[in-house]
Amino acid sequence: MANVSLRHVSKTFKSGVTAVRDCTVEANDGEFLVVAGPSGCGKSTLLRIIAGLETPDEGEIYIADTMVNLLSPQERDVAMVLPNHALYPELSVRENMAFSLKMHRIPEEEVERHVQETAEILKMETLLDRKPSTLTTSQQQLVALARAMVRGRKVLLLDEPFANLDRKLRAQMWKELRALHKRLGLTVLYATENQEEAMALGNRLVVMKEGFVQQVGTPEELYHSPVNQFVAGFLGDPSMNAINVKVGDGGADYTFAFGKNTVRMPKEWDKLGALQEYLGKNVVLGIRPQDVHDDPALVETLPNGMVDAEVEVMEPVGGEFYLYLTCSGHSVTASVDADAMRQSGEQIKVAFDMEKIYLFDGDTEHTIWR
Amino acid sequence: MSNRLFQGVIHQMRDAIDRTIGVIDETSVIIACSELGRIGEVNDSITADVLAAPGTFVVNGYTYKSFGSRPRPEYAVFVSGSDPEASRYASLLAISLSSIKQYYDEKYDRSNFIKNVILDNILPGDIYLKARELRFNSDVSRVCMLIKITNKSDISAYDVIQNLFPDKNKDFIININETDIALVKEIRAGIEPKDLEKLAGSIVDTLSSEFYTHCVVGIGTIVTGIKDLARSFKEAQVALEVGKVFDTERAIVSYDNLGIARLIYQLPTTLCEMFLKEVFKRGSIESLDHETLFTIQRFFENNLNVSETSRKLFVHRNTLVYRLEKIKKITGLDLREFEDAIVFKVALMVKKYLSSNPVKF
Repeated sequence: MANVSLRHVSKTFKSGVTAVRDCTVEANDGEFLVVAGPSGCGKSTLLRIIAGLETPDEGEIYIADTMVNLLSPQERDVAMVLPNHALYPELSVRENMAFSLKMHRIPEEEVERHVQETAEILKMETLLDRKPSTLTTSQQQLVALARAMVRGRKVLLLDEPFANLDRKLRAQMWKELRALHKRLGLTVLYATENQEEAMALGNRLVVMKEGFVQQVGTPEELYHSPVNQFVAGFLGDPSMNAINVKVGDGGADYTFAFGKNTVRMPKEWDKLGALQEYLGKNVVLGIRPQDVHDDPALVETLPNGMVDAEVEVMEPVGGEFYLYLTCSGHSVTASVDADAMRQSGEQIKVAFDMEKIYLFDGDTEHTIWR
Repeated sequence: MSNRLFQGVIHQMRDAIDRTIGVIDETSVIIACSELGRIGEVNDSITADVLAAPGTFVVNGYTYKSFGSRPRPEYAVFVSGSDPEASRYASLLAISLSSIKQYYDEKYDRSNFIKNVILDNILPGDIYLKARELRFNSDVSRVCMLIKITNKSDISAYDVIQNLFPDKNKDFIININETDIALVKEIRAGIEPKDLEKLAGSIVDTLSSEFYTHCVVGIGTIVTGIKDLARSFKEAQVALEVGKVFDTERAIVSYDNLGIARLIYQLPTTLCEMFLKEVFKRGSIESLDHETLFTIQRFFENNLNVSETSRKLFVHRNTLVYRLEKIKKITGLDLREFEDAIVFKVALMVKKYLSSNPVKF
């Protein structure tokens, strides 16, 4: 096992596209670090740089406190699993694991030792003589992992390895991977664009956008204290509602106006006066769908956050409903209980729980209030 | 076909070797034997794994020697008895049958035939006859992929791909030259393009993660019948060529998705040069610096949306508007107007094409 450290790493491709910009990230020994972000944010490139499949233009990469910039992928002792990995269908699990080592002309005895050791670590000795077609999907994933681990075991790099699985199977694989990580104490870097996967797996998350690291922290930290609108919107399902509002002075309250609706927040909450400089300016008000309420009894208790809304559609999701609303031309999603069924076009009153709102700078998108 | 070939040799050898001799295949079926009644008999003790043994081996009083393609031979010759003489007979028979099979395969090799088809080395009239002779199903859908290895590697990518697609009756892997490998794959009818890309992705990802070998894959269109495979192969070639010019970061380029790039790629270079001269005033495009061109690229990617682009470029909206005005002044094209934007986009692609040193015509 080993720690992985990236210091000011940048990578620009020949086409001029900069995939990674001045990225500094540290994965501690035995940590499960998830690199998350939308497609094209640079997370895969980051993992490929660590594996040695891409060369950074700038910056240093350390594995187990040793700089590996000049080492070949083989010498870095890392295992990598990519999203479209495929097993060799005609070869047994043992042969699948040994294939790349044999192709790299590793002596037979050494190959066998590597295979046996890896199989023991992953507790899959009984699978060694079986063909991939006789394995369950989760066993096949385990073999893909084992095949990667015979080549290196210091660090495990997983680039959306379960992207091609359905949701149910993916959830099962998360569980198994978590258990494996707990048992082996591996240092894992896991890239995904699925926020649910990121929240479920990581000890810590690195959220990336357009090559930049946006924020690093535990899933809870990032969910509750996002540094900007992007991180706030990326984590959470459905995404956080973002409404352009104008900050006004309502005496004892700040007012946030959008269209005909205005919500209020007591000034006394803003002890440091952070919102003073935004008076009269446009900011983005963020509120999670779980904090938008339609229950009339609850709405009455939240007069400051009460707004008029028109129901677009009500969508059942498991035990709850997603209520898609339009509030003064802004789309707002609410996650509500099924106490009252709403009809499309119905005019209702909903309330934002103002204690749970976030405010983001209209230009920089940085968090100014949470 | 091989069965008849083997039976012919075994029949001729029967009198010279006064023992029971024959050939068993990887599915444990006796396919040729000096005792005709035993043909078709199943011998479960001989499996594909047993056949992988390198030398002669004895099972139930018979000496076996495997032959066929290594490392997984498909056949074994057997001779009754477990004495050294039986071992010698088995070895001699294996050499003889292996050589005959090799000669036969070369003449009637399905893979060789496919190679000739995709490289246009066979007369169109002969394709139909030969395909029927080699029992090719002409109703199934197939696709050609061209895999180009882009970095030096001492790994045989051919072996890797052969192991990923081991069905020799349905999939054909052909070495085109030292960097290019063609894969002709039988696919189910109505397969989605994204599934084909996933298939190509498995090649790219396996070579990359297992062997640290970079490659790009061009995908032709799906064809039915053998004759059109040549077209699918050429399309895969064009996809790679066009991808190299316009889509340098993508490892998988599908002919179906080339769009306007394909059109430009097929235009005569003289026409392209003429177009550039007409669109841009003398030297105007050259005077746009790298940063401005990057701005334009981002502006197009964000559907000509000024606010969105400025956010993505981390510049103030007014800065972007100023840059766009500057471009208008230099080139005479206002990128906020759709008509001008499309002319500029095409012109940029044409310029990219011309700077890739295409064959002039």
